[in-house]
Amino acid sequence: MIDDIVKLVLGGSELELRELLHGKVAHPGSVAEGAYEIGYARVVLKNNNKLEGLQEFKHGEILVTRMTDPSMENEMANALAFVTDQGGSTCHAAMIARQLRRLCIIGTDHATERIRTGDRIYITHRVLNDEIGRIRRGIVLGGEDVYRRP
Amino acid sequence: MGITSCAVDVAPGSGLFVEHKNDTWIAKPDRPFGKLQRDLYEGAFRVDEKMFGCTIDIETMNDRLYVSKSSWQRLVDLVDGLSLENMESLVGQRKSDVESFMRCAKDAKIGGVGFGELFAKYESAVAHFHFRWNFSKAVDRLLEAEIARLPAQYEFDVMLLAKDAPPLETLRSSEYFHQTLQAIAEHPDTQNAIASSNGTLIEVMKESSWLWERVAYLAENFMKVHNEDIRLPIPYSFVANELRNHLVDSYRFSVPINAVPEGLAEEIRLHAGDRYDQLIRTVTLAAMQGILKENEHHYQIRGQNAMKIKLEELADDCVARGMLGDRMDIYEVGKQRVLDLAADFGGE
Repeated sequence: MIDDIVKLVLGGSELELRELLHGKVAHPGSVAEGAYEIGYARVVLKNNNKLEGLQEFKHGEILVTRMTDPSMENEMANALAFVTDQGGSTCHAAMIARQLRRLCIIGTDHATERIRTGDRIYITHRVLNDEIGRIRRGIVLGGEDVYRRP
Repeated sequence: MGITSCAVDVAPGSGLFVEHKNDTWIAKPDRPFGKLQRDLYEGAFRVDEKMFGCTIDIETMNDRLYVSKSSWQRLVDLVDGLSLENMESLVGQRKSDVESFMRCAKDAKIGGVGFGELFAKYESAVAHFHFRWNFSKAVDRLLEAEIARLPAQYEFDVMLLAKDAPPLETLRSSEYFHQTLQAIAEHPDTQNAIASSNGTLIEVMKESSWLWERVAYLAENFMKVHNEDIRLPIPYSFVANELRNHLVDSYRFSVPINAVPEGLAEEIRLHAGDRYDQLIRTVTLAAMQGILKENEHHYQIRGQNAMKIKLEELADDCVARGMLGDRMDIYEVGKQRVLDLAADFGGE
């Protein structure tokens, strides 16, 4: 569990946000390292082969799901970014993110548990060095009720 | 070796596998099929056995096909151990097998050797689908090891250097969907009729032949419903409703940007040095298998729908001759019985 609090100054206001998740960056979109993509989350879950939440998806939302698949194509073309629980460098979300140049964080394990539809979330990425070598980490911040969509 | 208790989902959240609760068997795929499709999927595992020189233990329960975890793990280990050369060869074979299945599904005749050849090609294509998830993870590891050697600023753009990567069917479908929405918007009478259709959406769309052709193209050629069960109807209604639902919103299709930055190849060549050729081969392999993995969802549905239309034509013939009680029975009688029925197609 990640509990780090991050203070962020945006538009002259200081925000206190919680680090919700880490994952692998499949594509940085147009967001420079350390800068933030900000949007409202839409959590889409598969239940009995139906994708709950997909019909309500709105243009410019951040798609949060376990794994994307081809039946989410229209929503992905219109999403600001994608965050997934699972997947690797050549998973569906990564492929589409590269094609569309969208910010995409994969393999977070818990995005669909820790993010709710309507949450305002902040996504960034940084290059880190660890004992294995260089890695690029995607970070998702948010999770406070005060930042939910009005 | 028999299975005596109920299947339970023991892969929380993934939805990928359903395992038997004694933890010995994995349902692959994770959903029930009719007997015909179970026979074909089992045939596909037999193709995998030949491909990898291993044995795969299979059981059937509750209309699902189960593979023993130990034999599955053997297959996964073999996939993990493939060299770059083996992987390239397998991807080439996979592309050829899947294309061959789609061509055959379109052209096959019901009588004669038509269905026998079609089923064999279907099994060869599905054989690749069985392990594509694990294959993809093995390729990811190779790719990440190569990319980790490059400076960070190239780690995403290097994928643009992949050679001959085909377009993503998902994006082609999305583009066609949005072109259809635009075409509807250019016909105000049709648009109004769709908006006010109440339980008659299909009839309204069929009145405009150009529109119905587009609906049929989307429904028959792309995976609009995430279920490869061949018994399911072709989702014309789903596509029609999807179009109506999106007529009123502000959806836009974003055109992909694929331009390779000028000088990128030369810059990366400088950093990669002697490893440049290996890097490009790995990137090409990763791009190709990643795109195939996604496109195959659509290819399978495309081929299956063509196969489905022929199977139901055969079924109607059999029902008329009293050999089947219902056209849907064709999916439940098994592969050999379908071949026998096809041999008598159009007979007395």
